[in-house]
Amino acid sequence: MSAPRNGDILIVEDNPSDAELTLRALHKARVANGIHVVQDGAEALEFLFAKGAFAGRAGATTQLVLLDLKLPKVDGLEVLRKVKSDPRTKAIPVIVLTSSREEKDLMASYDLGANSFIVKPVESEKFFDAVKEIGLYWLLLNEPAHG
Amino acid sequence: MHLRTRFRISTAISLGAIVTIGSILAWAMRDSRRAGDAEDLASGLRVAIMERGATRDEFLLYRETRARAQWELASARLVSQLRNAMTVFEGVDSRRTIDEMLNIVETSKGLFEELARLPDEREAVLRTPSVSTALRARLASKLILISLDLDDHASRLYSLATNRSRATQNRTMLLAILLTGSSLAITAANASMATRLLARRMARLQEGAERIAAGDLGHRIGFAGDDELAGLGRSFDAMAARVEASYVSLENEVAERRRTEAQVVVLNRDLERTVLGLNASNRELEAFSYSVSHDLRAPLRAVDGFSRILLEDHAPQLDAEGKRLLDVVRSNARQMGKLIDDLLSFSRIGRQEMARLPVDMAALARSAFDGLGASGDTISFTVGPLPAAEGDSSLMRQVWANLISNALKFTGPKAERFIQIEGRTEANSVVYSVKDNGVGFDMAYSKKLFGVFQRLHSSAEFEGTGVGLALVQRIVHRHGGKVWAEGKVGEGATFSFSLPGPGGSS
Repeated sequence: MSAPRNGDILIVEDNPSDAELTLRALHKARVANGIHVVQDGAEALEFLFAKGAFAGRAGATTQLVLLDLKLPKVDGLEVLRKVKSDPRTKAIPVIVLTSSREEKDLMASYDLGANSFIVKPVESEKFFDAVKEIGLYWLLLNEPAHG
Repeated sequence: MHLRTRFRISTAISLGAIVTIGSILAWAMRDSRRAGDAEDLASGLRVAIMERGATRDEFLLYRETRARAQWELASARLVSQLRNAMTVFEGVDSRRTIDEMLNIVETSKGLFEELARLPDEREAVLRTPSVSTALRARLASKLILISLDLDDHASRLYSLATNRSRATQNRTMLLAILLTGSSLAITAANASMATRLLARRMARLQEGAERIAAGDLGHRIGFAGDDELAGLGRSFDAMAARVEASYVSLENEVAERRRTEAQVVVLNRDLERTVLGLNASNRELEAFSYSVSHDLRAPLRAVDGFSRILLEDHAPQLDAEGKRLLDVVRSNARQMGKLIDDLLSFSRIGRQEMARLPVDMAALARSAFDGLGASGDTISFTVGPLPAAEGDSSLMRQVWANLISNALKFTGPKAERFIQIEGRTEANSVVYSVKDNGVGFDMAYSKKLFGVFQRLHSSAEFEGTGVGLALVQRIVHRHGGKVWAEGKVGEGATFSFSLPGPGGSS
């Protein structure tokens, strides 16, 4: 994998089990990027904009964000809105990975610029497959915008 | 009194007066003719008396037998005339006069006889001049005197006749004037009374009409009497009473309507409040199902995911029984995930907006069948001509999908499978059915088929959550239709549903 593709992957997930399953699925898909897990929207924003606890990340790139919608403090849609409205972060692909099947969440996510909307299946096979495909597509096949 | 009667009386009085005057005139004419006859008779008498006097004088002068015969003839004529007069003259005075005249004539006859018996004057002079001459002279003067008397009587008779004729004329005139006058007076009085009554009644009618027109609906004319205008007044009052009654009932109705409108306003306000409350609880429900879909699925995913990791990464430490138990855990987690999904869609159907458009049911049924991925199986799937329905096409598709997948599921064990879809139009509805030759069911349990989580088969026989048919029922009920099922164990089942006919209300 070439250098620009080795940016970090950010998992925004407040449920530790889901976070662990996602991590495991990514590892199984042999994703080599650095993976960070944050538990709420506020932390996610600090990570992405290199603030607070993540001030040291200044200059580091984020290659993909896996975003849950129902989050403590700042919710997923708000994170999405901020990321997609800021020129520094709007090019980062954001995959909404949520348990919600609600139509309005789907519409709101795409409206705010989400790159994908994936409903987390209960069945682990399907879940693992979904995460694997995300890794394949967004990390290997998709050509990111530079900047 | 009726005005018509009044006018009739006036006419009758006038007519009566005319008839009376006519008959009085006729009677008066007869009377006056008779008076004229009497006059003529009286003057005839005078002429006869005069002529008789002339023959007497002639006899007295010449003592001729011819003269005597003429005098006797004249006397006889006079007597006959007098007798005739007796029948013509009616007054007591006249009759007495005529009687006297008859007496005089008789007396004069006697005198004349006596005179005639005396010897001829010229002979007498020769024989006994003194005695017979004196006697004759006395007799002659007596005869002349009573003749004068007779003439007097005739004159009197004449004047009586004349007077009577004049009196008759006067009386007739007076009667005619009196009758004309009184009939005129009665008619005039009658007409004036009728006119006054008419005017008074008309004025009160006009006043009444004006007052009622001005809105005084309680006003009444109140005529007493039995004339036509009194009748008109009573009809007018009856009409006014009906107008008043219908006005009052209209006012009551308007008041009632106002009250109803006020109630409707109150009810609407209540309804709005209820709707607001319902919307609030709907939002709560949505929030609830949102968190159910999110929060309940996460632990299930963890149960399944970690069980799988255990199986994958720690297989060597697990014996066959341990692996089987983990599989049971996983299948239950998945089953629960499906239950949650089904429940959510079941509750969503009660809340989501529903379109009501014409739907091509046959196309939907085929597409639902194709969507189930069973077209490759050896199965005879037929769709008969189906009437169009009105409804929400995505919900209808779900109905078909659930019914057809049910049929597919329960025909599974059969070697030759068929699913037949049919439809028909009834009076106010359209009816559709899905018939299969699957395992069927016992009609004793048909009521349980459409309940949520109600299942007639164990999960080991046929998988399922028991929500599918409940969903079908809920969708059909929301469309205003009905669902029912018929079946026989081992022979198949027919699931039917009806929808209101196009244009019908739910």
